[in-house]
Amino acid sequence: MLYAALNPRGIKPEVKEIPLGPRVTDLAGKVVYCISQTFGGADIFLQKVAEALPHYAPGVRAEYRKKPAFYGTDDPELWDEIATEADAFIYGCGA
Amino acid sequence: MWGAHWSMLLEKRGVPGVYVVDEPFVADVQVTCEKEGMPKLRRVYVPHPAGDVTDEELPDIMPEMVRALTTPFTGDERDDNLKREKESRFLPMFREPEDGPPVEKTEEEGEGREAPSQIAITGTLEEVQYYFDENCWTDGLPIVPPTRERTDEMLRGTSHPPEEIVTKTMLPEDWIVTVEKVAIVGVMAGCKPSDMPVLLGIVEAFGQEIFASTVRSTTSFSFPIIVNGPIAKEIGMNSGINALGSGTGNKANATIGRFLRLALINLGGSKSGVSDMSSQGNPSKYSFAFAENEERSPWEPYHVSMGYRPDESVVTIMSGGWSHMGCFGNVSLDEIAKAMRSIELPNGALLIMDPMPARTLAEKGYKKQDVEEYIWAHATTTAGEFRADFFYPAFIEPVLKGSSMPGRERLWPSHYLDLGDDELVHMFPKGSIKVVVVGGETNPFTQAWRMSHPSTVSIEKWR
Repeated sequence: MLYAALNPRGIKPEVKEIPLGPRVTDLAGKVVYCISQTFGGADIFLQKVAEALPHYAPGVRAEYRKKPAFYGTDDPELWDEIATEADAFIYGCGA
Repeated sequence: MWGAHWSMLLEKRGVPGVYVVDEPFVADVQVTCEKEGMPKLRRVYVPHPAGDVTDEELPDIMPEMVRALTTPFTGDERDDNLKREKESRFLPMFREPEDGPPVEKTEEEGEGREAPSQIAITGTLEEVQYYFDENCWTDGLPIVPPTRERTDEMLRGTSHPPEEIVTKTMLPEDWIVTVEKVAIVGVMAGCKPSDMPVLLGIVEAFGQEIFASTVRSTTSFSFPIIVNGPIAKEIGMNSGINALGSGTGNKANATIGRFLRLALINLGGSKSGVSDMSSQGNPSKYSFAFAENEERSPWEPYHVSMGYRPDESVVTIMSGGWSHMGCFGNVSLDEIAKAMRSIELPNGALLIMDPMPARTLAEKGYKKQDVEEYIWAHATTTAGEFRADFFYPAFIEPVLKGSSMPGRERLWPSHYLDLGDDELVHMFPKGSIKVVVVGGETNPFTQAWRMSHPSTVSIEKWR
């Protein structure tokens, strides 16, 4: 006996690709925010990254920030600060 | 995958960045990036957990970060990310074929409506099962092939048209779900047409932001379904002996519970190892549905406590399942509260109480709300131990500092931050302990489950 089985998959909404912003050409003199979202040892790692970054990118200023809210909660003040103050960001880690 | 979400938000605001991804989440991040329209989000992969990365490992990681911030884009970056995903040792057990499963036609037929489903495969029972397994469309158990005839029969269980959209945000991937798709998955799970209003209510209840984190979580959440009101009896749900267990008398409980897992997989796009990152899993993820024993309970049923009419049929879904204790063989609320002190991340609990201890408590003058309040008041710990909870830094401390979690109000009071280590605190947020009466009165047992975020909807409209 043969069965014609229907496709059970939900329908993916159409998604338009959003381009990334342009990269910075050089980190010298730039401000890079290193942001921890607090899970899985991200605090330890991102602080380590912030300390090490000037060694790998001479002239950069690394600013460590811990995401204040739960990792799934919006932090508009932090995003505003980054958009205003940062030339680039490193965000991590975990979920 | 919140980190990717916030990184994309910053990219959209014009700040170039790189997202640091722990190795197990390679595929999870890619799915999130594609869902949100930024599949080329720059990433650097690190061993897991990142907190254990040593200074000696940094020379391999740091230059990648600098390159990610400063190197112009290339056209094949998405391919690079997919290649990385394929090479990851954290692969799901089954992979979709290279050309992917058949893509459903998504052409809209009008506002709030979608086109009928297409046939995915025609074959023997074994061939259909193999195909569904290979495409990661099952929960690992045999399914009932969802033929057009069976689906149409299932659709007779609701007055709603098959093309009607039930939700546009079925988790985890925010997919669009029609009434027909619910019927198809209901067939797969072994449900009956009369179950349809409950199945539709489950999908409606699950399309809430409060489940967005728990459904993907590493913490092995399951989502119990509690059915209240007349429909529970109408469709043969069990609220008595072995209601949380197995057996022929539990067919409605078993299949409705199974429906939710199959719905997450098929209607919401959940995939183990990609968007379901449960580190260990737990068996209640297969199926976890029951009705409250309203007839034998001395108290008002759960849905009435939530403001619904007694004659209204209602479905409730909670998040939890990864911490469970009992059966407590007595009615000492002090003993239950004491045991519940060992629950981690105590943001809510569900006591599933047999009618026997419920009646004993009622005879002593306890209302249901008194029991909930008593457990809350006596489940205490020291502030020092509360702050030592594994989940405290990520989930509790931000709340104490004023941040709310998605879909929730403040849980614990902020003065917990300032208490001395030896001062006592109530572990659970006030109002977060819930009691339902379930069981067959063979012994006066109570189970305590770590459960939170109840999402309750009336299912009358889905009849």
